[in-house]
Amino acid sequence: MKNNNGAAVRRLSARSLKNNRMRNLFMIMAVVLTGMLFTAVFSLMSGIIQVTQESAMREVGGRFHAGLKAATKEQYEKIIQDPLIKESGYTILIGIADNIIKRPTELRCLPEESWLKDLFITLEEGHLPVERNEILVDTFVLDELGLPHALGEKIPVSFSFLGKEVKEEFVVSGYYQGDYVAHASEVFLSEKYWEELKGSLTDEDFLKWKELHPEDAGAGLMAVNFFFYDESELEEKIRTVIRNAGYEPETELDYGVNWAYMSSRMESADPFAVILLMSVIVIILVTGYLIIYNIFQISVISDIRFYGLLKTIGTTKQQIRRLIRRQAAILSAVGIPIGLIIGYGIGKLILPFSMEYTGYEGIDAELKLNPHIFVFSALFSAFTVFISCRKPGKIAGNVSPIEAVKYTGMGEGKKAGRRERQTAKNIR
Amino acid sequence: MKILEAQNLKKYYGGGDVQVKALDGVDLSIEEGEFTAIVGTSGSGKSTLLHILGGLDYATSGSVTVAGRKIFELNEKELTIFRRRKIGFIFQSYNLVPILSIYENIVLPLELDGRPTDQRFVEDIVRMLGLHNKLNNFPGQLSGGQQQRVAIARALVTKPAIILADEPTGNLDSKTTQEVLGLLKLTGEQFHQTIVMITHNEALSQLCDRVIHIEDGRICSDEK
Repeated sequence: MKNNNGAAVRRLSARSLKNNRMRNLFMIMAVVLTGMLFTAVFSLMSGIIQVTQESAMREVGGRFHAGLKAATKEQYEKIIQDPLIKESGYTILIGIADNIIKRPTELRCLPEESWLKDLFITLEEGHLPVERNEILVDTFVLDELGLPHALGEKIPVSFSFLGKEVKEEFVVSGYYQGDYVAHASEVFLSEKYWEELKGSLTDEDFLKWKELHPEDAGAGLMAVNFFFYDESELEEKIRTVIRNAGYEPETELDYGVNWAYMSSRMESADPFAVILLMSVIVIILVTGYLIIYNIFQISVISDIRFYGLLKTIGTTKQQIRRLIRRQAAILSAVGIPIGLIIGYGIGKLILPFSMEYTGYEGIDAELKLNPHIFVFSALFSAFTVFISCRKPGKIAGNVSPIEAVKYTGMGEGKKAGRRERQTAKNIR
Repeated sequence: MKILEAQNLKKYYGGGDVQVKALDGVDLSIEEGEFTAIVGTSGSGKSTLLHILGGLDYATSGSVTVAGRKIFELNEKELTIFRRRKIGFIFQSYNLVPILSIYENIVLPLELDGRPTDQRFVEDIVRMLGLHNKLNNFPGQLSGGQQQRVAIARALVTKPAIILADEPTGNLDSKTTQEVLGLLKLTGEQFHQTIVMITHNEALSQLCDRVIHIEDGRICSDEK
């Protein structure tokens, strides 16, 4: 038996909506509230994850996925051919400054200025060193030396390179705001200086030095950084890449994975936090459910004669349920987007404040737009509405056709009065 | 041809001392094309009988066969669809859908079925019942007599096997009653419908081909 009724149900639900302005308003508000709560929670969650990941990365010193600890030029050139690698960059470790003691200060050579941003370095003034005596420092170095944050300041640096003591004076060609989250200050010298310092030394010399003096990790060699195409299986990937180039991971060519990406994975999530999150979601769901369910319940019960009437004409239980679901769907289509927007706004507002309480002070917590927030919020909200209208829909669908018929005969209120008046008039 | 057959219908409410026997063994059969009146006083069981004959309510025991189908063997969904297609109802208080227009009310059973509407047929009915310039109005804007005419149109539109009318003129004044009854009989004949009408008014039953009297849940007379 065919029961194809699209047009009839659609029209009935459109008219019902038109006729029930107050109920519609309450419904929409309830849906907005539900959507808003979900979105706010998911936004906050997303924001917290972003911030913790970002600060972990700043601790590590860069956004890159993984890297090689001390590579020769030959090894570097072989490896960056690998198709798994999306982007790569490197610094050459020159040494550690002896005269700057408050924080470890690493002297490096960085060939490309564009790689600075992935190391969380934004120049306040100036540029990467070009001339032999130029240096790029951070504000911590300037502060320790008692120098103002300005270009042209003279910086004395002493360090040891492959056993040789070096003392030089450099001129600030650029500086950046130091990050107290990072473990060390990165300071950059020009390529010209590096070539001069290196002299006739080769990668072999550097490798030999590394073997003899493991504590002088990678002096003269490249610290390479990679971006893969995605964040999964980073350890696997870098090992594969090293092997593909013909080297033995760890023993021949040592690597590191940016643990910021590892620790933000769900597997290593704090179980307490997960339970807390689940509870919050359940609470929102139950709240939304109760409000929406109630609104629909009242609406159905007050219209029970209408549904009985539909039954007498031959509307099936399923059609009536569809009628109610359709109204719920339309009201959700209005309410959910509004809820998403408001919720996102709230999340964005609250994030900086909530970060203060978790000890990540000073981090500028700004919520970045993540489409997953909206997708999940919309899904959870729609789900809540769906389960809320099930029971009322069932009640409406199960109404007996006699409900509509029962009140015939006696007439009621205005209509009866009018009729009786008509009758009385006509009898005369 | 027997369009409707009821056998040993019983409808009991409650049990023991307080049991109410609304119907106490009713047998009935209606031939195609008949215009039958079921007459009885208040509480005689006539409304209960009509509801059961039309599948709006279930009997405690007994069977009802409409157009060859034993309707109580159908499940709820099948019964609703069967009612929609095969049984036309007219109620004392019209029971039109207030949020739909007159036209939409009339074709609603057809649309619920998803079947294409026979426009010519609908126009014929509408014209015959004098509703052609009220099609865009809403039930609230019509008089009682007009609303009942809409109800008749709705009952006719699916070309049902039988039309059941529960005190169709109960809420109408005498003049409108005459009008509506006349139209009911006329359209019944015009469209070859079988009609069963309940009434407590003896006078009205004169218009019918057959008059059945019911009292205390039992049929006490059956005359043509």
